[in-house]
Amino acid sequence: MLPWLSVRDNVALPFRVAGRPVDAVRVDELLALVGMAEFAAARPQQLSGGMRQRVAIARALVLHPRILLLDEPFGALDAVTRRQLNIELQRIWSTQRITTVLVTHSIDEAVFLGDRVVVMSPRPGRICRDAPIPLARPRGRDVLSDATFHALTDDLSRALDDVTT
Amino acid sequence: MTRYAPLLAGVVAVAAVWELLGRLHVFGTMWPPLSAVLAYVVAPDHHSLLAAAVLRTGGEALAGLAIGSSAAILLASLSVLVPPAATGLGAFASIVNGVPVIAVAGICALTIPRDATPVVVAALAVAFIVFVAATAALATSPATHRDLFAVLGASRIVTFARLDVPGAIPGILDGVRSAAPAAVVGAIVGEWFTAERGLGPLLVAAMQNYEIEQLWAAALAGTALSMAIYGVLGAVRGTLSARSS
Repeated sequence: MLPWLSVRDNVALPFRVAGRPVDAVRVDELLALVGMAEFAAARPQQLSGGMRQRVAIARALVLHPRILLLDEPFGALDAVTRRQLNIELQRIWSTQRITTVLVTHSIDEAVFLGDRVVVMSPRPGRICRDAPIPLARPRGRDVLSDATFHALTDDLSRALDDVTT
Repeated sequence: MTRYAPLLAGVVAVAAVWELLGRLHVFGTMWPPLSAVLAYVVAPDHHSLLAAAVLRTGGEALAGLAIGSSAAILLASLSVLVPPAATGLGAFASIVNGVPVIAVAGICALTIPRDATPVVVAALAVAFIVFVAATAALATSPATHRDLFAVLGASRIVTFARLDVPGAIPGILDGVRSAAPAAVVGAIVGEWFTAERGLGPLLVAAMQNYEIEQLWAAALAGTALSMAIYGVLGAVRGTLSARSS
């Protein structure tokens, strides 16, 4: 995020860069969706890491993209915040309905969020497993203690062990 | 208060050493004690003379600082927007910087209107410092921000206006601030060749007439002027940084 812009202006940045009029309603709607409406006037330095990621997601969604690419979006966050944002990301998807490719090193995160989990091998990067995740949506915290969830994570964990050894 | 303590201590130390050297005549009668110089400054018929000189030179220095900085920022922007021009502009700036200020002043005195000489010399004296600072500052945007603008499909101009320029403002202000003393020197040297009033002519007249206290008072006034411009620009930069963080 640009440190000299407020949270609201950071979310509105894609409109300005594209030379389009800022859709203030859309910006406010997304700030509310990611739970940052109260901090619209704050500067990035005043936010925690989790809050910055929420703003970054709002910014990514503002121009109605057809696909969202997330490269380890929650990698730098603590476990509790990460879990919370995983749940929020599902809530965002339920309203925005956007195809997302998310890169993660967390098997739990992949199974919890994904419809498909693709396991890739290191150097050369090759797809070595493409597993559908049959868990019903919406998925809440209770999914994390579900037997199917654990079976899927165990299975993918073994698949990952096989490619890295 | 504790923030300014080291500065205050430094000023007091310099003043004390100056006073002592003057009183003990370590460097002869040409080095008066600070108290004698200050007595000259506060004498009723002197301070209006000094104030008029400071105002004139200060005005020229500020005008030169504004013009020279603006030109330097424009050139630096051009070198960022048109990368092939960067090497040529850098070399051009170095050559202009290589010409001694005194030679620049002499040439200006012969080629441009007399009244404009101090301002132009001040502008040329600051331009290189600001050019170097601005070129560096305009190239400091982090890779993640550049990636963001690339992903958003930003043109070179939009990236420059919305990313490079706002990010460069603190660095450019630092450059302008560092150039403030050069602007004062440029204005004084310019005055030597062309002006009848200002700190430059005051210094020359004092030297020719052996007005030792006047010479030192003018030097002190020039230093105070540099420091004042430097301080004001520092405060502006501090305010801007506080607002963007």
